[in-house]
Amino acid sequence: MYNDSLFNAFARSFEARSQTDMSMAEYLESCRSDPMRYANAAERLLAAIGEPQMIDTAKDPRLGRIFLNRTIRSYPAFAGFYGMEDTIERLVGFFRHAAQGLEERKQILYLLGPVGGGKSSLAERIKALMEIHPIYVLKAGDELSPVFESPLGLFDPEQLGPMIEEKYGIPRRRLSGLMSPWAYKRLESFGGDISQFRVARIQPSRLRQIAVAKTEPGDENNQDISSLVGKVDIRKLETYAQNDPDAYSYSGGLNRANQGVLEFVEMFKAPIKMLHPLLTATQEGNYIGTENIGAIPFTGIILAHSNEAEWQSFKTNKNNEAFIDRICVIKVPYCLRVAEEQKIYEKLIQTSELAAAPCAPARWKRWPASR
Amino acid sequence: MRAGTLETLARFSVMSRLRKHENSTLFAKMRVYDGESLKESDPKARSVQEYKDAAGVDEGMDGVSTRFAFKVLASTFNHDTTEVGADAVHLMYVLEQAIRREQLADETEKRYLEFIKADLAPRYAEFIGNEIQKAYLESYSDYGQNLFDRYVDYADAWIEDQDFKDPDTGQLMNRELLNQELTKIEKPAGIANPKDFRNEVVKFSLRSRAHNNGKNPSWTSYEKVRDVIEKRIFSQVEDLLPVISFGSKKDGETEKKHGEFVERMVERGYTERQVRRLVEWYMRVKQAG
Repeated sequence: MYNDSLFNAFARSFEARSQTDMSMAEYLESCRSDPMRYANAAERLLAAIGEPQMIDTAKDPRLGRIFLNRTIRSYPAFAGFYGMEDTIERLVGFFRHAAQGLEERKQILYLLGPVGGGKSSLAERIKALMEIHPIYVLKAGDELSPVFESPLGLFDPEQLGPMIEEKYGIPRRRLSGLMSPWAYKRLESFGGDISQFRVARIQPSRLRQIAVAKTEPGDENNQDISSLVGKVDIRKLETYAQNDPDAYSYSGGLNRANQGVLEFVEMFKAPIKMLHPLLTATQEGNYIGTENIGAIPFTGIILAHSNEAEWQSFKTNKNNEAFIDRICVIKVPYCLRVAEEQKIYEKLIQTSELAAAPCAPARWKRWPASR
Repeated sequence: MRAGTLETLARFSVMSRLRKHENSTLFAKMRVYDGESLKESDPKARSVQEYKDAAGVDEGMDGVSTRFAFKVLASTFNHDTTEVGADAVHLMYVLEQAIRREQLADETEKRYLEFIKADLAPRYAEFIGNEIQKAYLESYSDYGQNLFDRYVDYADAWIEDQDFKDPDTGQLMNRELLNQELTKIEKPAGIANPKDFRNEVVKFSLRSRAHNNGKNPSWTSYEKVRDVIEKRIFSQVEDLLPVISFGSKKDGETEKKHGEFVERMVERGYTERQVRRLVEWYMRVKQAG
């Protein structure tokens, strides 16, 4: 019986994560009652993080001394990150501002901190939170948009904005008016009839690199921007022209992370020429592939991290000014409180075999204050 | 002894990450950051905000990493050849080795080693000394109670300005003599204001007697008194060495007490090997200092 229920449980969770289809009209209708259907990446992330618990530190003598009796927010979604209240507050603040469409929306989120301070763990947690809420992706026939673009990209905000706002309650600023070359080709073959498009509801996935992607710096010599923006698939050149959107392989980090989050590990270890697509992707919401097939939309979050030495050498180079201005730095320092540092070790021990090792008197009294 | 081990390690990690403050010790700063109030014990200690302002924005951006600390912890657990377990004595040893192996800048290495020598080891000795004394003490609880009863009687007579007649020996003690005896007990604990303290203890006992059929309270029931009595009992560490030390005993009585002591330490969560090691380490530290 037990085994059976395991198989059932697996099937159920698989089903919940598999994609479902709807028509364009259904999608637009549903947007009226459910803003999450057209929410951007930051909004979905905020929704996944959820409401904080407010802690009035004035009521606890120890916390009061540490936090100067302020009321602090504690996010259950970030449980297990000990002694990082300030960092997490700034991080959530970044997403909140991005969700409100402020300057942060156009910035690269950059976690700066010493080695082993929890940057990668934070990034992993953010990616896991990204997986919670589904995204809505344009679909033509059986084909999903290779860059997971939002159906709203089809509409030009100038011409159709007011109408969409009135009929479906979707604010005009949500329309980017940017569809991918892939979508444009489909639209042409449909003769401009958008009702032939369908909309798929899919779950972001780290495993399958759907709306959550990771890019790592590779070899200086052979790494080029194609690991970010994709490249032409030479096998398809037999049947397609070189500038045909279908001859393009949308396998770069920016392609896969549209509407989600792109993690750029050790960003400043990568050659500077690799970073340029990130600028236009965040600032203008689109970027150009290796072959000029047209602008490809990008509405996700770019999350980078590296340690201080690389950041310092990058920062001192005058040539990088434009880049630095578009980065929002969040510091992730080490934990500076003994009790919290101890909790980190306990957490690490819990995941190892040492958890059962002898010792640990049940009652632990704090050390005597030095006399 | 996991908790003491983890705390020692956490203290080390945090201290390596803190910026020095001009007028206050690093150890005090660490404790203030941890939310302790040092207003009474250390007049030089500042508030969290003052420390942070003085340290600048880069505090916490260097020092030992959590990974380094966890590796040290892992080898501490596996340091002993026969059992997987951790205690702070091992930890400090392993930590020292790890720091040397790390090949840090000379100055950093010196600073880190100094943390162990100047802050962690003495504090741990104090802590483990307390643990040992408590385990040792339980067999001496009659002695503690006697000492306490006598203290209350003396203090009562002293406050009332009466002569006191010892019920056992019949010796009559005047105020001067009483004061001498009381001071002998108070001195090791460094009671600053004996008059207030004596009043406090007598009042506490009288109140307790009223609820307790005229019997004195247990000497352990009042933290302040307990502290004084314990300090008095252990004002000479030598008294305790024959019982706690491992090795041949001069008589069966001491042997038995030693067995009981070890048993109580095991009850407190130490393994027997750890007891032996900690006691030996403690005695070495005490004799050296």
